[in-house]
Formats: sequence, structure tokens, C-alpha cells
Amino acid sequence: MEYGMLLAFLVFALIFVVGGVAANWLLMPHKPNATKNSTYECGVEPISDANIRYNIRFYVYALMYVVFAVEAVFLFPWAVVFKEIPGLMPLFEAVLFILILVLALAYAWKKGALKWD
Amino acid sequence: MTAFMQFLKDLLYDSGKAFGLIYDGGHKIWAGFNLPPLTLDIIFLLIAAACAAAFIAINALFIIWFERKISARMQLRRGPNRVGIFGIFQTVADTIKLLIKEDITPKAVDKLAFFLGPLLVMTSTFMVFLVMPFGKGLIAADLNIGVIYILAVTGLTVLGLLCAGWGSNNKYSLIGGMRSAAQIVSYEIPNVLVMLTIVLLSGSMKLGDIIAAQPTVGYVWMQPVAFIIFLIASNAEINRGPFDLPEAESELVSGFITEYSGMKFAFFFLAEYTNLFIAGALGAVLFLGGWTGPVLPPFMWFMIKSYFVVFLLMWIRWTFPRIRVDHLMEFAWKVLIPIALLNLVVTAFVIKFH
Repeated sequence: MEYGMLLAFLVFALIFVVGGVAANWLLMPHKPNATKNSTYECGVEPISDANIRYNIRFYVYALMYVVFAVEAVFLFPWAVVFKEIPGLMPLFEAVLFILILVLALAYAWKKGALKWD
Repeated sequence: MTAFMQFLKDLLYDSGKAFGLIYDGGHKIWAGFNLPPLTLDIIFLLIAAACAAAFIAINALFIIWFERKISARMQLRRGPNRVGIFGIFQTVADTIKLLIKEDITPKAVDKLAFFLGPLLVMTSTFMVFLVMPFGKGLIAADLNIGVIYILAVTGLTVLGLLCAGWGSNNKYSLIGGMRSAAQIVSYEIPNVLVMLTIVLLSGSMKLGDIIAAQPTVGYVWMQPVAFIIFLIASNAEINRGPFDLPEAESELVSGFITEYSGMKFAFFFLAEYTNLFIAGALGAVLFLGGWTGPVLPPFMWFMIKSYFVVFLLMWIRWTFPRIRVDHLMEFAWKVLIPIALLNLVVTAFVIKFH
């Protein structure tokens, strides 16, 4: 039932967007012309294609994100059972894990991966 | 008669019980007609999804009006005051206008990506309402992976923004899309760590359990640092000022939505304001005790608390000037993430030794 609800929401979201765009399509005026359909570039003629190369730093940030996102995926189960497991083992293991991550963050920081220039 | 009054009271104060009655009653009637029970289940699912859609639409109409009024008052203006009393129907008029505007698709765009942009952004926003606890039992599906589900679904927004930025085939859109993707993924990390801290305290990822585990005053008193990080990070994640670099008007026209018009533009706008509400609602659920509160129905408490956090976010937006892009990115990685990690470890220590 719960995951059926998920499916219902997904279907409804798609209908919501497609229906909105379709309603817009039915109600709107259709008067295209060459100037209107050209790419906007503050009034001047667009120069070449826009699918150009962009800065590598976006990629570096994305990589850092993947590291931390995976870390979060590992830590969520730990956080859920943390109170139930007696003793200090879960605490020290997680602290060790986070320390390794902090080392990685410090390394990236030192290397200048976090610098946006 | 008293049974009916009790039912109405349940509907307000203990919606789960009332919905259970409706569900069972519906199935009894359905069985009387000799129809398969699965079809009725599907009808109930669709009704729930339709309610969420109606809520998103009405709530967005209100929240946009609210923001315009707040911003106007903060700048000593009056704000919208022509359409309806206090201008409350201004956004309705704007929506109708957008609905009958021409939806321009420039020649150079990648048609599929251009359409997938608003579709993905709006779908991911809509899906979050699956686990939103509006009140006692007033929740579409209280998944036991609630928090991770929210993170996973909101993560889809990034794909939509990248599609919109790349598909528009416009330099402003491309830079805007890349910037906002970089910004969202960077600020997602502090947000994830904050939610991790909350999960650590409550011992469950289910939003219903998180609300139940909170003391009456909420987690905000136990986790003030986490709350501040949450406010900053969610403000950045929904691309609002002072972190609205992706659509910085003075340099990027309006970022990834430059080429959009008509209803596709409206969906980006709708998603943005619904995300604002989601940020407020998450703040209310994780830190302020969700729908719990005296006298008033749970739904009212949920809305009051959510709109309180939304007001805080608006206050931040209309008070601070936009910050520089290098400051923005380095702030996330060099300040927020170390503080959030430290907060997590300290919380773990306190729980073990308390």
C-alpha cells in the first residue's frame, strides 16, 4: 500500500506537469517568428552554440559530493541503531569512520580542490 | 448524531482514525457491489495524490502572495493590493496570465532536455509530499526510510536543473544550471549531516517517529547549531537570496529559466515556492515538533510552525545582500561541513555518556 502510494504520486506528478503544459498549449496563441525563436543573448545576435566547455571545478565539487553522499548512506543505518547497541563500540567505529573522512576533506582542502577561483 | 460529531472531531484531531473508518466503510460498500477490492485501493491512492496536488497549488498561491507582501513591507512598500481583498488573488491572476501566454520553444534548444527540466523539477518536488506529516495520521505514506526518501527525491531536482540549463542551449542558462547544481550538491551535505544528527537523537528515519520522539519543546533547544545550519543550507538549496547566485539577475538574466516561458516557466516557479514550503515544513518536523501542540488541530499547528520557518527564510532573503560565488561555495565546504560533522560527533558522545 505504501509503495503503491509512491507510484500513485509519481503518476499524478507526471500528469500534473504534462497536463499543465498541454492546457497551456491549447490556450496559448501560436505565432512563432524567427526573432522570437532565436536564442536570447541580451539583444545581440547569438554567437555560436552554447554547448561549450565549462570549468573543471564543477566536476571536482561533484566528486566531493559523491564521497560525502556515500558517507551519509553508510551513516544513516548507524544512526538508527546507535541507541540500541550497548557499549562504546558503535561510537568509536563511527568516530574512526568520520575521522577518515575528515582526513580526506583536509587533503582536498590542502590541495586546493575546495577553492573556487 | 454523537457518532457523527465524534467522526468530525476525529477528522480534525486524529485524522488517521477517521480515514481508517472511511477506508473500512468504503471497502464494505465496495464488497456489497461485488467489485474487486484492489480497484477501490487504487481509487483511494489517486484521491490522496489529488489532495496533495490541490494542496501544492493552493499553498503555492498563498505562499507567493505571502512572500510579496513580506518583501513589500520590509521595503516600505504596500505590495499587491488590487486583486481581491489585500491582493490575495494576485497570484491567481498571474497564474491565469501564464496559462494563456505563448510557450516559446527556441529553435536551438534540445527539445527533450528542455521539456525534461520542468518535468523533473516539479515531479521531485511533488514526490516529497508523500511523506509529509500534515497531522496525526494525515500522511500519505509514513515510509520507514522517510528522511532518506526526502533526500533522494530532492536530489532529483539537480538533474532537472542540469537538463534545463544544458537543454536551453543558451550561455546564461548553462552557467546558471551548472552553478545551481554545484550549489545544491554542496549545501546538500550539511543538510544531510543535520538530518543524520536528528536521526541519531530519535533513533528512526520515519518522520512520524521523529515527531513522537521529540520533547514538547522540540529538538531546536537540543540542537540549536543544527537548526542554524539547517536554515542556511536549506536557504541555499532552494536557490534563494542571499544565495541566489544561479539566477543572479544582474549577471545571468535569470539563470536556467532564461529561455522558459508560459506554463514551463510557471512550473519552475511553482517548484521553487513549493520547495520553500518543504524547507519550512522539514524545519517544523525535525526541529519544532511537527504537528504536536495544545488545543488547535494538528494540521493547524503544522501549518503555523511551517510558516514560522518559512517566514524566517523570507526574512533572511530580504535582509542580506547577495554574496559572492567563491564565498558561497567555500562557506559550505570550509565552514558548514566541519561544524556539522563536529556537531554530529558531539551529539553521539553526549547520547552515549548521558
